Amino acid sequence: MGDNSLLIDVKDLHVHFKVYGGQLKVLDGVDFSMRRGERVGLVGETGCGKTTTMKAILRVLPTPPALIPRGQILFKDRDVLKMSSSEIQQLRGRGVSMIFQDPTAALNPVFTIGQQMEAVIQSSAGSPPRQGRGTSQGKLTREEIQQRAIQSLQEVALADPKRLLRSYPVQLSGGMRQRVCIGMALSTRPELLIADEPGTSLDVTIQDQVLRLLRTLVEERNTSVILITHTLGIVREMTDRVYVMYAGNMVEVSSTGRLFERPLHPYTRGLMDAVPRLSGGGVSDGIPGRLPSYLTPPAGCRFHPRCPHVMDICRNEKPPLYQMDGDHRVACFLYLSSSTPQGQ
Amino acid sequence: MDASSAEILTVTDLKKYFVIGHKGTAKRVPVTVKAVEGISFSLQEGETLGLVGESGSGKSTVAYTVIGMYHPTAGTIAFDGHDLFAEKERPLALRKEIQIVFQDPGSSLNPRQSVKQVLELPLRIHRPEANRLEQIVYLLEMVGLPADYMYKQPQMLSGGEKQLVAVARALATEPRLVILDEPTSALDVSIQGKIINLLIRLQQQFNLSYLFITHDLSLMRNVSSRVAIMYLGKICEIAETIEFFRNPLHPYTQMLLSSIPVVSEAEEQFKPKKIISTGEIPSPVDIPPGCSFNTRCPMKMDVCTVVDPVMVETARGHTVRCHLFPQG
Amino acid sequence: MSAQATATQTLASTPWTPQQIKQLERQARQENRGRLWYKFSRNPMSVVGLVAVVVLILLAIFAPFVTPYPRHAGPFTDFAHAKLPPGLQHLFGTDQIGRDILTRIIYGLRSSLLMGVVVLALVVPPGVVLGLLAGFYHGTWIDTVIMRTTDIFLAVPPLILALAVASVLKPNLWNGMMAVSLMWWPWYARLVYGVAVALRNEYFVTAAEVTGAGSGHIIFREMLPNTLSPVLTKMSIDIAWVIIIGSMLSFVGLGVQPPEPSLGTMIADGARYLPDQWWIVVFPALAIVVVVLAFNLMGDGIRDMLASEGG
Repeated sequence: MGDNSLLIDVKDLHVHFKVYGGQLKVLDGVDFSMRRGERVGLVGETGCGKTTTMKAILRVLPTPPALIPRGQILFKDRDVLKMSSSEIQQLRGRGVSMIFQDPTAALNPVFTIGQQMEAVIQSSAGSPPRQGRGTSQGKLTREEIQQRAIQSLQEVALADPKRLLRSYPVQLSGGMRQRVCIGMALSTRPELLIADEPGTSLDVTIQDQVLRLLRTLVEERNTSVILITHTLGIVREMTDRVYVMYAGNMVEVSSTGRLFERPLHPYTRGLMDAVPRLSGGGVSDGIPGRLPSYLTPPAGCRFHPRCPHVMDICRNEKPPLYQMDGDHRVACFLYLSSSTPQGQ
Repeated sequence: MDASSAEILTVTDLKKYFVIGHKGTAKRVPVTVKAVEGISFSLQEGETLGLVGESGSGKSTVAYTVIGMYHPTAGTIAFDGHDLFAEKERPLALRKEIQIVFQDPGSSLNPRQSVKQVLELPLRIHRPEANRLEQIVYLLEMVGLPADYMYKQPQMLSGGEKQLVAVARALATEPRLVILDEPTSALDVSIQGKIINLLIRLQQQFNLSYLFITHDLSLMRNVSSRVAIMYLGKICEIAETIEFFRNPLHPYTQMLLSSIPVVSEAEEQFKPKKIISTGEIPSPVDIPPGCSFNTRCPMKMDVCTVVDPVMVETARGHTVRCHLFPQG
Repeated sequence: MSAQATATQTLASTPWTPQQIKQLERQARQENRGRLWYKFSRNPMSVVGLVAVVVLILLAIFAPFVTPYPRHAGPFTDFAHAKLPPGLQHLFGTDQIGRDILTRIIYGLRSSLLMGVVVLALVVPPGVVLGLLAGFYHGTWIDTVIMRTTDIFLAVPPLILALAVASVLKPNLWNGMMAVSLMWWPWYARLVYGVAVALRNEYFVTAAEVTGAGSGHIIFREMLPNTLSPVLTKMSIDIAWVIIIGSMLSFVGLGVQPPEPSLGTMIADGARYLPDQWWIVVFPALAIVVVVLAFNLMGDGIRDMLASEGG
């Protein structure tokens, strides 16, 4: 249904942050791509570089202290890294919406919800509203903007939208704030929606409601979605394809169904094992160790210090993404021999 | 269940209200949040009771009342037979026995104190005769942290390590009851297991009783011996874990269970049929009459909007509060 | 948990001996100091400020030995060499009575810095304690009494208050300091109060209360260390302000009395010799600027040093 050309194509992206004592080599050659209308999940633990990748794509990384020594980011076939800030603004504004992890930080405490939603809807519609006059060339009246805002709030199951529009963020609970942010993000009917941990502050039943809503809206409008999270269950329900990320590298890419049936990378396996099961059986100890230092990252595969299957080659060389069957790719030397020849 | 294990915590008809402001200019009617509205449950020594609920359910308020942060508006809480609120200030001897691990390790440790100082406080107050340095090293080893972590400040530790310090702190007084308020919710799933398994081991080693609060039902399934579900200040259902997951009775319980995102097909079999919430969560200052769940319940009957159901026992150890089950 | 008695884990059975623990502690302290310095020195200007402050303090302390004409700091006249422009004999020139300006500036620095240190020593401890108490007992009558008192003091225009006090008492440096102190302490009370109220509800304070810690421990061991950062930063910038206020006081005739040198009096007296004998005013004024700048830069560094590193 509709156009499914390549929307984002990231190749070999390196992002470093300058700090005293050197550089934090956060992203170490990230490949990422998605087509229009796809729902892609980006999974990894806190600090693995997921948010940095997204910020790089949207070019909202402050450079300094961030540096992009290598890599290419194509957004709608245009090289993001070479665009001027006004061009980026254009590309971003109408087409991309982002839902942030921390709703409290995303909402300005000194403006009412209504004012903030209006600002968002206005800027996506193109220009300030006119009092009383009807819509013409995309301009919206104040009443229409309010209507849109109320509708968006209702879509995320918030009670009494009119009163909510007059409230300040500080008067709402965390869960309500998150839903307001989601409502705001969807109100502009974006082409690309990036949701960074959309469920964390939500109750499980509300989360379920909201995610189902996201799915419906996404299907209706062919919105492309990038879902960033460390909660595997949501990824399984909401996405078609998944990227698993560890310490600045994509370690496994696959269609969602296949990933959950047959996780290949030891890290992915560790994550899957760590999730407590509804069927019982106790809780696994998880993955020992912690994320490596980005200042002095380990040589070779960045996961090797924590890997239960580490081999000599892992300590010295970084594995490329090996092609397995279907669209399943994994960056691990364990699969060197079983991959199909063409590499990445 | 071991007949000889005593009841270590008995909560009877607990109520906790908060006045958050006043309405109206002339009459100044107080606006009250009824965070906990009459709940009763008991905890056997050595067992883990899971308290599940979403935000606004009152589960944290229950925890904070048991620990002594709040005084009940009504009702009693007895620890080993002693009324916890008999005196205005809880005596040290009782404080020693009941400890808590908070949800957010970032704010439960004083950023200006070293781990040593954090662990010293409970030792100084409750076990002044013990050799403090020894005990600190022992506590750190017990939770799997190296002794030289003593001199680290919280910012140098990862989230998981901070939480381990919080656990060590709770155990420093040699308590018998530990309240765990969402101990792993703020942590990544890859380190959650380590802490949970540590807590389970410590429970077995020292015969601890846990009041385990969480919203994560999959975790609950693997950790508690009994589960209680709370909604808007009241308990909806209590049952032993396996029975609870096998035969959830309350519509809210079923709704919760059916919304959990699981990671495998096998688990999907364990979820009840999908129940979709209709309607919105009422504001806690304006709870509807009758059963507080009636605004969202797909099985709502007329009586539900008028009469608040009472707890009935449907099977041994399984109680539920819903008009679908014969009252009285 | 009497099972612990059976598992008699003593230090002897762990790999650490008491001496090793002491060693560890020393190492940890060193590491901490290193990290604090690293944070301070991230901005080179902070180091410049620190060096400047140290130099100024040394100059003030060793004034009699460092200045070319120490006698000029007292009753001294030499009209033959009055109003000399800056030159080799007198680097900053001489004033209208023939005294060496450089010497007088350094001596003037003495009283300025002394005032800064003494005022802060008088003002900070009570201000901080009152702020902590008001914050800890937030919502009770203690809070109200303390904060309303603070408000009253803050409501009076500071210079008026200082003038009123200074004019009732004999005009000298010590009384000038009293006057300034009286109007300074409420700022610290207010600052600490704001921080304390926020801290009151932090989980780590609750954790300490729940375990049975007394109010004393909570106020001084849990809350106070978290107020250090804003207080120390404010102190380093305040020294500069106290010096300015002190100069203002001596400018209007209170505070340090002639012939003792004071930066403020030097500016007051020398103003009438502008623009021809500009050096009589300009150098003391520059001195004030340098002192203020030095403390401000150092204050920035202190703020960076104490900022929490975040998760």
